[in-house]
Amino acid sequence: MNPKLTWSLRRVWPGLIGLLALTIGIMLGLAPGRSSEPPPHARLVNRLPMLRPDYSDTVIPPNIAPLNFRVAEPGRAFWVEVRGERGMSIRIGSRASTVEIPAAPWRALLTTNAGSRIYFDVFAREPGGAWDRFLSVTNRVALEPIDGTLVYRLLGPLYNYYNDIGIYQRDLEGYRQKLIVDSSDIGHHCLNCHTFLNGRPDTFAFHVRGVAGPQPMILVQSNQVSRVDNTAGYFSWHPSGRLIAYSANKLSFFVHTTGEARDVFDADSDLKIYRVDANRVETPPVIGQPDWNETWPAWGPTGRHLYFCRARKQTLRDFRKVRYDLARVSYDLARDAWGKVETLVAAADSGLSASEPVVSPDGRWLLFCLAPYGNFPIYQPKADLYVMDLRTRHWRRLSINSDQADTWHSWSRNGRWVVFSSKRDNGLLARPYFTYVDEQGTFYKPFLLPQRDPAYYDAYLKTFNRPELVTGPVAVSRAALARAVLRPERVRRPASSVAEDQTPAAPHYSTAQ
Amino acid sequence: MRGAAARGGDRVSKRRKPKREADIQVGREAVRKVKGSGVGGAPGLAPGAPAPAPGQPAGAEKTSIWVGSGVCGLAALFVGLGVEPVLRYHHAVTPFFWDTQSFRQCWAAPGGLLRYAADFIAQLNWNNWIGAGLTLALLGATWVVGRRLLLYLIGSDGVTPLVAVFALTAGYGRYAWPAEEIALGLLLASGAVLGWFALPGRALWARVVSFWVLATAFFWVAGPEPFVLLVLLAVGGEAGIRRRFASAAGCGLALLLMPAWMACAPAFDPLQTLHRSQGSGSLALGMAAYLVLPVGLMLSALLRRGRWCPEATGPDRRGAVSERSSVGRMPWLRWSSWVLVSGGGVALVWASWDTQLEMSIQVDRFACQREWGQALLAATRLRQFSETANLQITRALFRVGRLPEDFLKFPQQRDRDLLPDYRYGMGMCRAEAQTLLELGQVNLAAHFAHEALEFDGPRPETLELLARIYILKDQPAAARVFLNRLRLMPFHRAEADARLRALAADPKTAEDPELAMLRTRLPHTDDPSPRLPTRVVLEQALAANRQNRMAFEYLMADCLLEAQLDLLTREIPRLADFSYPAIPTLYEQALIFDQVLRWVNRLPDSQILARVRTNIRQATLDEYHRFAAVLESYHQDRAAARGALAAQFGNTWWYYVLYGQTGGQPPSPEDAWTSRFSAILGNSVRELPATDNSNAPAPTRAVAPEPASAPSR
Repeated sequence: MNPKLTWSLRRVWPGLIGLLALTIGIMLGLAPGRSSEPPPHARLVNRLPMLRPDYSDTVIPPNIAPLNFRVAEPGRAFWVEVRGERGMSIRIGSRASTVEIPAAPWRALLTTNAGSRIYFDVFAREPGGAWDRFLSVTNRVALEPIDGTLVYRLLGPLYNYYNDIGIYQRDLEGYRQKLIVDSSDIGHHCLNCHTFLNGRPDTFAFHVRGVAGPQPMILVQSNQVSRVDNTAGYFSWHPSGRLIAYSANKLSFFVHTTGEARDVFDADSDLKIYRVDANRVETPPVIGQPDWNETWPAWGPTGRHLYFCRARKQTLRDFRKVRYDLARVSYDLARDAWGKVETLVAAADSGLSASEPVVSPDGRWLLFCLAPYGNFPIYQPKADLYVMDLRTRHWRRLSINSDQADTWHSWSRNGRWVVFSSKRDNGLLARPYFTYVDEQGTFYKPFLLPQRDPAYYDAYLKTFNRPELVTGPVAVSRAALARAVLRPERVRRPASSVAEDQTPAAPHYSTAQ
Repeated sequence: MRGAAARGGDRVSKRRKPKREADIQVGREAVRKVKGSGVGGAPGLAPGAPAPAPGQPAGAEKTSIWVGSGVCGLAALFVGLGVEPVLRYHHAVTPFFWDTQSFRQCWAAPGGLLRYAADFIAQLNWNNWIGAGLTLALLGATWVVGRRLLLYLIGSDGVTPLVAVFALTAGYGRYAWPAEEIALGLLLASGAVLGWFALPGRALWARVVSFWVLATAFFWVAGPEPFVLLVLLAVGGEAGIRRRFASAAGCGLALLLMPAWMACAPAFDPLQTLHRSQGSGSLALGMAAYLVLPVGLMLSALLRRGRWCPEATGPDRRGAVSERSSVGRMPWLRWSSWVLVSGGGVALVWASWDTQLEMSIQVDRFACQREWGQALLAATRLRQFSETANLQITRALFRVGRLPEDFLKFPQQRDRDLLPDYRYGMGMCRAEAQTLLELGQVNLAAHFAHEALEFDGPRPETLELLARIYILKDQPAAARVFLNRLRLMPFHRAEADARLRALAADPKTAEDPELAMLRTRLPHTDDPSPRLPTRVVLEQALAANRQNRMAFEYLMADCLLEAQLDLLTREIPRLADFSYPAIPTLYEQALIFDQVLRWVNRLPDSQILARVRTNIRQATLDEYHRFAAVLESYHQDRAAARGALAAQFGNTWWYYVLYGQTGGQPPSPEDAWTSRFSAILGNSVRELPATDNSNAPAPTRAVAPEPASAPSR
């Protein structure tokens, strides 16, 4: 070995080791530690602590990632015990107010306490050195797990133009978020409205806008990707996988000078059916009437009904008068026969406008939005979630609504969990919230999608759009999806069984939320 | 024991002595024998590493160092004092955030890590001196490493590293050029290939495989352009200098990684960094910066072909001629090449410096900082006016109280809109949002601010603007999100923290006088539209608050631009609401014109004019008489009279109406506002020719394309 090099190393290595030790020491000092005993002689504070996010008095799935939070109380140090009615508790001490719960003990705790309660005991140390203990925060752990993956679109709070849109998937049992496809992968075109068949990750569709010619639908079936050159708006898979109901809309964007700034007007929309097996587009007259706007298709879990919203056509000047009924029409797949349209919630009765119907997997509950007018509820602070019991046709407003827009809901496969986008945090950027639904149709206090850093949402400038619960991770690659748009190998040009639709090319703007 | 160990150590060291030691010693001996006792300056050798080329003469070495250091220093001074890093920061430096989310994203695509590092160091441009220091460090490091590489390979640095420095310096003057990213790419590529050349190991397969590993990692870390540079340097060094053609071919195969990646990612852009430079000139400059080293290397190899000391070579340097390079014996050649390159480089740097863009950025920056006088001073040096510049100049004129007087002293033309829409480019969105906010149109301001956020990225001015907008909309939680984002940016934490504290103390921040004033201007009625015409926006603002002076002056300016005499005269009584000491000159000019038109067309007198005519200054009337006299002297021939009218009356509204654009020079900073009037209006109002303004010639002044910021990632 080079003697000079040896000599240099001999001089340097003690310093390097010292530096390494110092670094480790600093990191350990700053890292939240595990303290075995609660602080002694703590003074009881007779109220619940403020936690951010608010993970108190909720029902959580047994397979959710750790609910890391910040203690929004003044203090020089904090000590938290996460315990259940059974099993080992988790104790965390930290000088910072951030509480990061270790994953493995958390999973064990939830598994052991499924069906019962867990508690957060929070202690805070005052500047004088005395400890305060708050009342225990209680949450219930459900027996039923939630689907393992959440898929959503991330985009800025857009107006007319977009630059960066991506569809992501998030492992709900951890914090890993992975990109499925980004607008930069497909030449900066717009990605729109992903929809999964029965929550299956290997079969889904999404829409691309901004390309020349028909705005294509990208179809993934059993992880095989193809492109369908047919302009479409909102989709819904028939549970058989053989049909997709979609809307063809004529949307225009405008701005208010007071109140909520953004709004969208739908001048003309009809529902159509794309037969996947036959590669054919149909426009059944019952769902494509000339003097009505039909939109927001959603198949029921058995495929025997198509739920949708419809309203009489209006001009842009009368946009505030546009109110959609919530309706459904029966359909027999074997005979390809349509029934009559049945109005479930009439706008004339409710005084409100319906949108986004989604039926629970067991077919009992119909979740939908009502807003003062129109069919773009995410832009309306008064948009709320409603539920109808399809056995009794009785419907009601959910108590979990906030004073901001609550929309874009999706059911888990077991019908016990609903995820929805809510602007309750700040009125501008939507975040995904989960709520537990029991068999009686009671919706429990929602909780925010947990992040490793509980302050994640405080400075996050993107909005979570169209969250969908999926039973597993999406396996199809970004490259395959990008090729399907830019260099497709499989292109379907559907035949139309009626006159070609006159839907204009996509505008330059995105009606993204 | 020690002796035995020592002896053992000696035996070990002898056994371990690399085969090339003898070659290296011979090479060093040969170097010492060279006239001038050349100092190679090559990097330290690892045992078994291929020997560097013999060095250049010591005198040449020192001169090269002096010249290079001087050039780098002067370049840094040019960037610091001329280009001004703060302007680059304001205009195009990518926002950078201290959070793990941003860091994770940089691993997601090739070149992400290099771009992350470049974006980080580019934040130092926030201060001119620190930015100049950064420039010096980058240029100096690029020069040093490039020089080292050439010395190692060919024994002489030549002028190639200087050319690279000049190319980079020229790029700084383009403002939106990603200088830090390109410089880091050059630096890393040169350093990586130098390190690879110095690696021990002679087997072909080992060298090729090691290069592939290096190149693959480099592709992901640095991106496509530095990757190609790395491969070109390796191939050039192996084939052109060392005559190892098999090794060169093996290294060249690494380029196949690019098409392979493009097959996997169809939207991948192999020129992703260069395409961020705007304009074909900037693109060419970027390509030149990347290619100068490999091209220089190959040219040097051709010039010095075979002129190498054979004793320093190994068995793989067969065919090399034994003569020492003759370059060292021709100092005049070296000097003349330095002079030529320096002269050419200075010319390139000067020609590349976009001074108009510089002024335009100055106008915007000063306006953002509320330094209105400075903004107008910078505007006086503009010759091409972008929409951003127009918006900020109008704002600045209003703020210094000179909008009704000096509006036409800056170039205006008929199709210009005071509040333009997207067809003029997205780069003006933030300036328009600022204007709309100050007018009280908070929702419209939100619209354009969000467009700016989407296209320019989360720049500090945009985040601050959005925070103020949402405070005014009584959405403090939304405002907090933008302020929390701002505090993650280097050098903006303190400012963001202060605003967050103020917001926490009072969600309406009623203590802020400007926000309090803006609250009085918020519209009361909803006027939904995809795009409201400017006049409607301004009228709505006035309807919400009669005391909105900005809305009034903007409305009058719009009427002047559109030659809307009826509307202008209708709004004249509002002057009483704002306590103007006198009727502003441009309004007087319009009123006089209105009166003349009525007289010519035998229309009844305007009642409004009847009330104010005694307040029109004699000086303005006299000016009109002179204007009419000049026109009449050309027998009403507008085309013929244009030059004469432009010289004397180019900044008047009469000239503007006649020709559809202003014709005078922008004001100088010494213009003083005069507020004394003669109040007598004479009876001998000269008749104007019956002109049809719709036949006014189409504006020919080229509007500078909107200098859009670097697109967001």
